[in-house]
Amino acid sequence: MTRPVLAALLLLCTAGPVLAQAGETPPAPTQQDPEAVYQELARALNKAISDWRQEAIKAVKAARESGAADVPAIAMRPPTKEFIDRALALASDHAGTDAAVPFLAFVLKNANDEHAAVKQALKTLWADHSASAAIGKALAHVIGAGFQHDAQQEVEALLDAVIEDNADVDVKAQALITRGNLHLQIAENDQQRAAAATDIRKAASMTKNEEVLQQAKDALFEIEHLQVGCTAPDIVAKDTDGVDFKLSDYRGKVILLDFWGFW
Amino acid sequence: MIPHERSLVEKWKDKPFVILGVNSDGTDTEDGKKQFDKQRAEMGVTWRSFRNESTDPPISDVWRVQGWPTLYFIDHTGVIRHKDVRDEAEMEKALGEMIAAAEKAARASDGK
Repeated sequence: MTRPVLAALLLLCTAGPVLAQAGETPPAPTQQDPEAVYQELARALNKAISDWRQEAIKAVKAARESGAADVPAIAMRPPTKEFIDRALALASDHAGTDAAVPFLAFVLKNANDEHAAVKQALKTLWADHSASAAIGKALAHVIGAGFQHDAQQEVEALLDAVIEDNADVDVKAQALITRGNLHLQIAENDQQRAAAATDIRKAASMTKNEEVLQQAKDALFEIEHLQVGCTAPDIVAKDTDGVDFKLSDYRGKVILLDFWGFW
Repeated sequence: MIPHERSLVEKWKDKPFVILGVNSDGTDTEDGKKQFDKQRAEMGVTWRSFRNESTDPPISDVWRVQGWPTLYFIDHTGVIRHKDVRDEAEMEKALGEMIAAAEKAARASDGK
């Protein structure tokens, strides 16, 4: 299936919820500034999550006091669905234009268990926005979204398309770094790690954007210093009591280094 | 996680083995430190931890930590031997082999 055809199908899919809501919600969000609509959506989600957290803590406390063994249902599920649906609808209101990208990025960033919505957002980005300079905003969230929502294929397809189609060198570099980082995380052998390094070095050679260059530098540090077989970088820092010490103080011993927290 | 680590510390207390943490519980504030010390005592965490945010950027950024907990297995020469082995039996096997290698190296250098 060619991309325009798939894009058309996706448009049909996203049209459903919009039409269904037409009778009950105030019409024409398209007439508002999309940036303002986006900010409002993000604010509303933050408020809902914060309210939910309070309620969930209360419910967990009450359950513990009454001796219930199960975690209350509310604690398991933040109220994201309504906002994810709205973001998808808004993206389809702005279909094919750069204004849709922040709403699609919102879906990638904030979805909880709305897996289908995430896949749809990734496919829409791939179909409509792979050549857009605005897609940089979405790339920061694709690795996490791929893992969380079992959408690896969609992520790979999107990154490949951006690398191929996008004329903006900074965006292309960012996509190369993202693909390199993703492949580094799932690499099973040195050959795959080398391919990831090639992507990242290529990105570093094509961009002058400092932020993107820093991303490349960080990724190369991981490749060159944090792999099995590398000498561990020293850590010179304070302990939890505020006393200075170094990782290398323990040379001669086997160290299990554990990044942890009680939270 | 912590109970298993406690058992490793106990099991290998006379061996060349340490657990070192990189902790991000915000122990730089008085409240955070108080809470941390309380939990540390309750859970029997006897091993030392770096304060993650005591460097800029934080240690977890430099080490590119993507999720918590993240584990690195570092041998007696400072080389990373394993990453993110989570299974308790696999952890013990990997560490046991590394400790044996450390002891062998120590014996060899004593014999010199």
